[in-house]
Amino acid sequence: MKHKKVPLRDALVMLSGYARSRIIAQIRSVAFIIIYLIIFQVLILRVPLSNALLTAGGIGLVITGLTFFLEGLVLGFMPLGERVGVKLPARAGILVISVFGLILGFVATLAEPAITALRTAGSTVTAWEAPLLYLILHDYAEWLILSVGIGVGVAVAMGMFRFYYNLSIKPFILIIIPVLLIISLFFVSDGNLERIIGLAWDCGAVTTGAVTVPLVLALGIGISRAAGKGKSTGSGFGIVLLASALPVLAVYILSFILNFRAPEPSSEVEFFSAKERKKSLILFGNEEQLRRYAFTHGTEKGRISYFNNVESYQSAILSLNNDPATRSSLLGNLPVEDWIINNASETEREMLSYLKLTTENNKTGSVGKTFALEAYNGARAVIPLSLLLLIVLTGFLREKIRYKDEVFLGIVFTLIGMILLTSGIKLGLATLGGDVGAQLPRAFAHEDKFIERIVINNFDKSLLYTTISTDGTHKSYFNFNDNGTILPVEFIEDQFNEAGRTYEHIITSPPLFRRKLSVLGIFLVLIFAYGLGYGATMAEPALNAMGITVEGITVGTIKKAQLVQIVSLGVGSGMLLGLCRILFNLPLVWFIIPSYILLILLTIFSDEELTAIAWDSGGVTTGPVTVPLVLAMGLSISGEMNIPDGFGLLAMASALPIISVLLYGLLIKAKQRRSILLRRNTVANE
Amino acid sequence: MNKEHPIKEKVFSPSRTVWRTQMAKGIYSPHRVSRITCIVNELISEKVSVFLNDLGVTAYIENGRFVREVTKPRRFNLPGEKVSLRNIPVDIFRFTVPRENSKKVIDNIIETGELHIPGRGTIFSQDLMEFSKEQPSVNIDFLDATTCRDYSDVLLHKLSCVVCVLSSPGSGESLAKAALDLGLCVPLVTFGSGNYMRDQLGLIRITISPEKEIVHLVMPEQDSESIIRILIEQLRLDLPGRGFIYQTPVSMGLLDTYLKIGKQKYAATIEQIIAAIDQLKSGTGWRKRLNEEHQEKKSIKSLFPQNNCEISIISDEDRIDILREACLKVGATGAVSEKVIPLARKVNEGISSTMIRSAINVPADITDKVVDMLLEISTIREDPTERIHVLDSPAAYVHKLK
Repeated sequence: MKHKKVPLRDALVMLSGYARSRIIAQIRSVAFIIIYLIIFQVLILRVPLSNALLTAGGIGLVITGLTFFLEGLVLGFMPLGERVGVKLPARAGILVISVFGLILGFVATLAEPAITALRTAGSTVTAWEAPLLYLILHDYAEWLILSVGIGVGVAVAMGMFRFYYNLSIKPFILIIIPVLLIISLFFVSDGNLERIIGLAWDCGAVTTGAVTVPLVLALGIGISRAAGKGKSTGSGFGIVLLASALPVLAVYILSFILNFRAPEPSSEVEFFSAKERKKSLILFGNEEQLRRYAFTHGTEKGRISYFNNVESYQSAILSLNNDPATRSSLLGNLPVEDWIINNASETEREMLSYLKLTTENNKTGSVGKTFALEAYNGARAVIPLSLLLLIVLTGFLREKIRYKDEVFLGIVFTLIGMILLTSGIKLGLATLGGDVGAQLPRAFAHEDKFIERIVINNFDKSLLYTTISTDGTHKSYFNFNDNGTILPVEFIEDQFNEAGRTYEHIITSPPLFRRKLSVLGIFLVLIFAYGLGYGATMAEPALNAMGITVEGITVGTIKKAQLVQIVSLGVGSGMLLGLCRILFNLPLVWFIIPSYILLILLTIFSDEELTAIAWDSGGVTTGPVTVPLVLAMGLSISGEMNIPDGFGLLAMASALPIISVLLYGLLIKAKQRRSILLRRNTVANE
Repeated sequence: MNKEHPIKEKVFSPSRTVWRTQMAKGIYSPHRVSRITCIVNELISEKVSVFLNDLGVTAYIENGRFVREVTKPRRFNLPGEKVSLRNIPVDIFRFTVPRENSKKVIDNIIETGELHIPGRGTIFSQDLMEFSKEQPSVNIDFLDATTCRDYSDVLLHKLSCVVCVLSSPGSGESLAKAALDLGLCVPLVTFGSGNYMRDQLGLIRITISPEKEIVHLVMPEQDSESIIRILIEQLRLDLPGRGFIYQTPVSMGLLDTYLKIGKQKYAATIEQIIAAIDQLKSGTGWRKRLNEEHQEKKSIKSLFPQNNCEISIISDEDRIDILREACLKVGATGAVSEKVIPLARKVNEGISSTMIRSAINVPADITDKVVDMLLEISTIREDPTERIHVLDSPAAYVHKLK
């Protein structure tokens, strides 16, 4: 058909109206989390915003990114996915469909940027406390991603199989979930395997990301439309659920196999001791790497234990300064100054006291680099999947794409959106979340929190001056020039090194509440976690895309805004529980097993369509907005509490929204049923 | 028995012209059938499906929602009431039966779904011309074997179904609210898509959403024209790009009178009273909504083109584009498509394709041309699932750009 020409002015009016409505919708979705974080940081924790300009810029990018991303999904990815779904059953047998599902799930996982987030969550894991977890996250990281990919692939294939044969989702839930729970219980009894539980459930939560979910939903809707008879298949939902559950199983299987290789958990001293060397070397390729690990991740005890005698230990420490070859062998790329500040013990610091230290405040990473990295990640997430769909649709199914230009534009929008969104999160939202997260432990801390150690070289005692207080006590102070701001700093003799003429200025912040009020502090942290989960989920693009789909399928009976609200409330509660487990250092199974048992019960009583929608919304919640924010908080708190890993938060943030959606559904159904029965009884009485 | 026979009073019927023309040509023979539309609460839909399976008709199911008004006292004992809208998921079954069987089928469905109890659903039948491969039939043995009571007392005649296709998102809600305020009926809202405007534009079309909200209202025939006028005013359908509205006749129907949920001031709701009088008077003729002032306005018929036709096509998703483009060629614009699921007669019938029901409202003068074009391109002779329905539409309002 020949297109009508729209005058430029009219086109601009149309475009501005269109863009405005989309941008306003996104501003609404992120407004809560941003205002919440700023209020928390400035008013409650009383910490000024660090680098407000960059944060504001980042937030702007997040909003623009979300707008592009969501519009791209609606224009390009979702129609494309649905088209493939509609056409596949007509042209291909179940075998081909399943193979396609397998490939799609696999490609989607490899493309998923959030999976790298798991490494971050495990970055504080030490090799001696959780050798198996360390082994999987480091030496077998590719295997982990591969097995998760297989899990998702099998899940998508299974989902398609289900739609093809019109099978109910409930048996799948009622078989898979109990199996996972039983395995989890079994794993608890093994020191090594126990540590895997958090990773496995988090893997399940993370795999279903912002691009995968809408695509898989659209595909499912297409297939169930083409293959469905009547209304028995839950209208295309349910794959996300499988794609969240099967990777857990895949990780369990992988870790069960690898457990035969991994050494038992031990103390740090034991781990680095010569006696255990052979076992420890399983985790590290060679002695050098083990030694480097002792220096970069271990403590003084571990290092002494590694060298077995004090002399060689001391000579190694001393050689850090004089011998560049030994230094790089022991520390890798880590500058010796950083090592001294972050890793060295007091004694070690004294041994190297003559060393001139310089600290650089080079915190602001280059914006350009962030963009380049995110562009690569975004392209990896979007391009392979769109190519796969396009090839299948045009090459294999020999279908023409309706509105080619629109679909192409949609894919470009998705890509641009993804890049802007993730860069914006890194530059703005995560910085903001990280700042609050880092300050948060102050809320329940008893002591001053260490913020930073600044080394002042060439310290001259003649600069000191004495002050007097009302009771007549004298104190020594000096003026510190912090980038042009003059700060009076108290001089503490212990921090002055006579030989090196260096002074270590330690910046701390006092606890937020007095010692007795740590319960209030914990309460504050939990409230923060709840709000963070709630707000971040509201902005999650995959959930918004799912909301649009659900509203369309249910003809507005369940509105997008309603679903987003209920899921966000669920995620908030999940975060609260997940944080409780970190704060009180409770085993994750205590949380996972009861929640999933409750879920199974609710599932039995819920109807098909709502069950599928609810379980899918659990998988949707953990996307590009939530994961960085949640991890920033989780890691900072678990670091403070000396808990080895920050896993489990995401798992809980996935489980609770399922409960909230199922409960909501049951409530609505009960209302409906009651109103029908009530009327019938009234008429019968008449 | 009822004395009112709605359709036969019409002087001119474009659908009858279509019938005559096609019979004269002798290539396709249209079937005179009744299309039954049954809208039931999702919870009862399984029962209705089973009945329709036994009846042996091919029904097309669509998802929709009923909108009811809920009045609740405000929280914390605050004075006043809170009025909100509640959406109830419903399933819409559409199927055709020979005209002589329609009454008995309706009676049976009322009995199966207990539709005479308010709050469970609405059912109505419309007489129309159908083009399809096979003449629609029902399992007569099964139908004869059923023993259900005669529901003539609750069935109303002289009704019309007003369909409003709305383009701006969320306007379905305000129209439903307007209908509830007028005490018309429980509005049915469905989702559809229309690409007419979009297809005329280049890539700038992304700024126009293809999604449409379609509101179906069943009301007494004599009211419909004034109601259409009120709705046009309320929703500003006289502005471009807002949507359009048309009316089709209903031969008989049972309406859900459960409009409002919640506190009730009197022993019976006004809807219950109206329903009771309808039953006593055997019709809706006694209802008079218009006052003198409105009567005067009614004489100005400038708004509505008379004697339009609703042509709806049920076809495979892929074919619908071809059919729609064919319609465009002969000047029929503004088709709205809704996704429908065919109710499989047997479970093992194999993979069915995705079906779309596309409705289009055309002026009487081009109806013949459009039908000719559609029949020429359609696969009605080969495909047993494809259908074309032609139905009179005595009043329609579409904003036309000058």
